[in-house]
Amino acid sequence: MNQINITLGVVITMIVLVKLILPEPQNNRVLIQEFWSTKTHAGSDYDVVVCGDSRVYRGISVEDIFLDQEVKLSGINLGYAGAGLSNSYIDFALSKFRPDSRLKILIVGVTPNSLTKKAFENESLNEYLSEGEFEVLKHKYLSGMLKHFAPYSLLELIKNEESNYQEDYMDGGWVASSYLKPDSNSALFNYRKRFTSHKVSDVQLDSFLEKMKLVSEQGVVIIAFRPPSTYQMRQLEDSQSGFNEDLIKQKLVSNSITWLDFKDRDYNSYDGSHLNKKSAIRLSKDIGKRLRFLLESKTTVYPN
Amino acid sequence: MIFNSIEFLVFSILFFLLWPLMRTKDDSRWLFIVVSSFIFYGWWDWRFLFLIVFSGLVDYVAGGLMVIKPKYKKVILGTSLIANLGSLFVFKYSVFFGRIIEAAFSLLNLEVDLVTRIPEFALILPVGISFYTFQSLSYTIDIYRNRLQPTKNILHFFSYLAMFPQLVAGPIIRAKDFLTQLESYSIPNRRARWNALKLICYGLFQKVVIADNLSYFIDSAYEGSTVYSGTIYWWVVAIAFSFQIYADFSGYSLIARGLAKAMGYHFRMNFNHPYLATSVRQFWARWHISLSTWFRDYVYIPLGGSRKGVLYGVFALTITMLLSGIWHGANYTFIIWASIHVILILIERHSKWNKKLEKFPLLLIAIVFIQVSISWVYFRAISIEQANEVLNRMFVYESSSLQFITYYFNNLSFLLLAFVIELLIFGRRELTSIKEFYNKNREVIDVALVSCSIFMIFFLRGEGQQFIYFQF
Repeated sequence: MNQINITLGVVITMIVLVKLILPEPQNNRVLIQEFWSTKTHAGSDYDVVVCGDSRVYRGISVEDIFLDQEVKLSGINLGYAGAGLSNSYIDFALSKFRPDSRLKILIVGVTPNSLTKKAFENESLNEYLSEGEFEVLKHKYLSGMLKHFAPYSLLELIKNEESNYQEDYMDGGWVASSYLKPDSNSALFNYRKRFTSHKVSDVQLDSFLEKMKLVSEQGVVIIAFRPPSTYQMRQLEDSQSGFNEDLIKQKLVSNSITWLDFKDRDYNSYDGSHLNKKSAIRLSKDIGKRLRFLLESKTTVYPN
Repeated sequence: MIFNSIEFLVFSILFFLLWPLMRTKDDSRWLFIVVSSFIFYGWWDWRFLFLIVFSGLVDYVAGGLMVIKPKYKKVILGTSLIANLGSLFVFKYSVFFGRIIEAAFSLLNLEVDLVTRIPEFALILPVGISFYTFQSLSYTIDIYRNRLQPTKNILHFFSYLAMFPQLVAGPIIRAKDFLTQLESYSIPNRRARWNALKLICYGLFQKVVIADNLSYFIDSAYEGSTVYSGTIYWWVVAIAFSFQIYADFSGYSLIARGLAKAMGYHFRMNFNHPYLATSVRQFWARWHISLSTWFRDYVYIPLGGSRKGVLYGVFALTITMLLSGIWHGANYTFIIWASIHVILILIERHSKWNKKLEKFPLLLIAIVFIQVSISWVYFRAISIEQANEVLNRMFVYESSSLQFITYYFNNLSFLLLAFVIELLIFGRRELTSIKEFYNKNREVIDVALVSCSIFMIFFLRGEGQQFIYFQF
């Protein structure tokens, strides 16, 4: 018999067996790519855009911000891994506002990392932005079929063991994440190492502040905050990254930008940097409350 | 368009559906190859098609003119060399040499600003430029040497130059081999179709299963985004890169050969298990064979090779290897990488140390592999400083936690797999029992291996990455 036909038969049998025996891959790479591609190439349909780095895309659920809002708003979390608050990134975020929106709200998570020269390169975002049309269409229309052929990790196949890192890719650009065994110190080493070579730069900071001023002058309501993490992380960032929260807050507020303060102790981080799902929902609801208060009172500074 | 993409799958299905209809007449066959290849290349960036067309036109015209005006052969060849190497220089080396000139002037306390004046379009490296430029040049040089008759049909010429399976990352095919093949066509029989499928599957397996799964481990080490360090760790990184670059490039070549075979053509082998070489010289006879032989035929031998005495031989070898190094990229790291190989080959040639260990082939293979892996550090590093730092960590003992093996288990398992595969190939070649077993059960084993490859391509592939050699 023809070897090609035999091979085809064997492969089909193997695929069917895998699909019957094994559960779906824990982190379906096809769906993850679809998530990022859909988020990046979303249309200009939103009243609220959230931007920032991984603390934002893992820490803010837009749906929960709007949960108690009386005004009907639509929003998207445009956070990306290692995102820097550069002009091009902010412009990208602004491009997602619905042109006829009467209330454009930009929520910006400001972390020390997001004001470094390295972060301003926005590698992760640019990777998705550089996708060709075919790639975007592929994610949009073929993911439903291709997800069945998403690769497994070898460990999954051998041990069939759950990964410690759990993540759910939600609508609206949020990645709800957590560790099965939380370790609030695990991220510290990496951040310490990162800050030895990448510190907050004056050039990047000035550029960000200037951009915020310009955007605010255009009538966009800006809400900025430092995403909560842990006490140890805050200590590390304040002592080693060159991040001066008070100064940034003061300069933003002087340009009619709202700054929100959050206490680390009110939330739980699974790795010392990112909030777990429950805390992310809580933070989002807290932002929602203050947003409602802001829209009602038009005050610029909020109490804790 | 890259081989490991849905786009290419669609492209190749359409191509092979239409191929039987188009291949029967010369003009339609060549036109079909050219148009398909231009779509394949233009998918990346259609603007750079003009460069292939320019490079091809120069050599097509030069080839024809050499026959019409034999008196001016040298001038015509010179023009072709200047045009081809000039465009290669502009796109690949202008920044590198611009910086060198700037540095030279700064030594004289003169500030010259060259790099920022380079037009933006010249800062983009056209995919595969080094491959098709060399291929185009070999056509003109062979005509100049009276080893080839130019083709009169421009479609025939471009179907040789631009044929999509090898256009962006080789193998570098020679006009004198391939123009003749393209003059006719053959319908692949059952065995040829099976062999084509085998090559494509093994190639994809090497690329998406081995190379792509190793890339995260290696990239995180070189980008400094890992918490791990220590002597053992860096040796594993170096060895992993040896297998990654091999699987990546050899994988591409296998797919290219398989696609050509499915069309009814034949590309020569480009990799012959180089890590089973028992000398560095043998390594070069097995690694990227089409490039090594190109440099041998068009640089090393014309320079006199080893026929003009020891010193001249050293000179020819050094020039050839350095050019080969710089061919890979405009960076000092590639020059150092090539220089290490020159030194290793010279030591080997003059001390004949490996002859003394002939009875221990596995030991020889291990020694050569280690030498090659050390040199790859310069190839992978982004700067000489980084490479020196890595080598320092490899050679100055620093204890390392072996926890990285657990952390990178998903990646390192594929290093082990690659290692075992090479060991089995060694066994099949050297051990009679394995050889006999394979020959007896060849059909069953091949079906099992191809089936496993396809299964792993589906379910154990790594993060999709571009082929490393695209950047050359």
